[in-house]
Amino acid sequence: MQSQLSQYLPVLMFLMVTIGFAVGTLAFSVIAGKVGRRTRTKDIPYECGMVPEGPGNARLSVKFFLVALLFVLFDIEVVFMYPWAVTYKELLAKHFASVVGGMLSFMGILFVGYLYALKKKAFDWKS
Amino acid sequence: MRMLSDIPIAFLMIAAVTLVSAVCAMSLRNLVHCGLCLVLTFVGLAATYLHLSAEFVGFAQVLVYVGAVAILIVFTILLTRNAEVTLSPVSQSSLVGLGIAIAVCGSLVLPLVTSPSLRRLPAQSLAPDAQVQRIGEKLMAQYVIPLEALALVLTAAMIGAVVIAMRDDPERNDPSPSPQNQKDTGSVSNSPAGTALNSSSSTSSSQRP
Amino acid sequence: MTPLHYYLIFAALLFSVGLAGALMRRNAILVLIGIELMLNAANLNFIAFWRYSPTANELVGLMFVLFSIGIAAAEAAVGLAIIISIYRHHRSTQLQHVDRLKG
Repeated sequence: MQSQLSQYLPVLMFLMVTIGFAVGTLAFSVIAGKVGRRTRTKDIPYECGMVPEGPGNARLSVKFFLVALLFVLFDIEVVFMYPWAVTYKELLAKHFASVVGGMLSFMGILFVGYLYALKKKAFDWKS
Repeated sequence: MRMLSDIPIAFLMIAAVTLVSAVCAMSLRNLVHCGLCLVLTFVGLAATYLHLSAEFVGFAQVLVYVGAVAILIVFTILLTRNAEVTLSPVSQSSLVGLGIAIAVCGSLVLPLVTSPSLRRLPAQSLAPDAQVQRIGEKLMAQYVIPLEALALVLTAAMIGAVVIAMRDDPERNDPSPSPQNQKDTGSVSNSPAGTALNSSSSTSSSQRP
Repeated sequence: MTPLHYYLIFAALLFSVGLAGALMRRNAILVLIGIELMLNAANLNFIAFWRYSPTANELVGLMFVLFSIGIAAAEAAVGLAIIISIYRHHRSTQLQHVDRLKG
């Protein structure tokens, strides 16, 4: 248990240093920076102009969602390809057909989804 | 009876961070903050998997959940953000839900605390360095059919998600009448042309009674 | 080492948090997040029981969790697509607004 914990000591130190750096930078800018006076009217986007109305953020395109969807597809593919790639060479001698055919059909089936999204022009950003 | 070194400090820290971030993910008002707390929960769970010496599952957890599912959730939050935040975030029947959750929690935790047979220690019988190779062997020998089935499920889900998310796409991809499309996005309409998600002019959301 | 029931209690608490969120919140995205948390708690139980079982070399729990992660990703993708579609019809992701059968 103790030896296992001490394995993670560098990770812990790394985390401490990164968190300390981030917090320290922010705290330094608060302490050393000049704090201006802020009121609600000063903080609105147009100080002497129109009163803003509605949500201030533009809505994203649905294309972002579709790209993320494709990312999920390839992510799962990689998760299952990685252990296959590790053992690929040892297994190849024993049962060739199942090793190559299994992974090829796995990738082929997943590729159908990609082709469908491509065909539906899910990644056509022009419109 | 129990020594101080018996208390698993690392596990307790990871569990505390994970649980607190899970509670935050379910209770904060700002949805983007909820999504970010959810990422922290997933990272904590990956750390728990590492602590259980399931390195590859922790790796997969980070890759799939932190990398992909969290991005998907955050994109959906940004896509469906709207102005009406005046509603209270919890529903009227929330007390009933809380009661059910507490009852489920009690019925799960109480047997765990009282049962003596679950206080066992880990089996020392696995070689963690060869784990990924063993997973690969299993995946190619014993779990080939589930692998193909998973590929089918994923493809079906992907096609379904593309169809559902892009349902009114032909109208939107139509090159000619784009100003007309943007004109009636503000009105309450169930016409497919008027509800294009990506028209940035549709800031005035419909006020429903 | 950490005894098994610590992990099980942790998973039970995580499951309860997810369940409470899924039952209490009004937003459809948060309900989906609650379901994801419950799935993750189940995964944690699988990994814990695998690690503490005498036949850990069989890797049964591990493989189950790998496939479960894949299914959960598919479920999240379809669920979020449905939420986007609901938003397109009702201009809201609040569940009490989605009370019409034909929209």
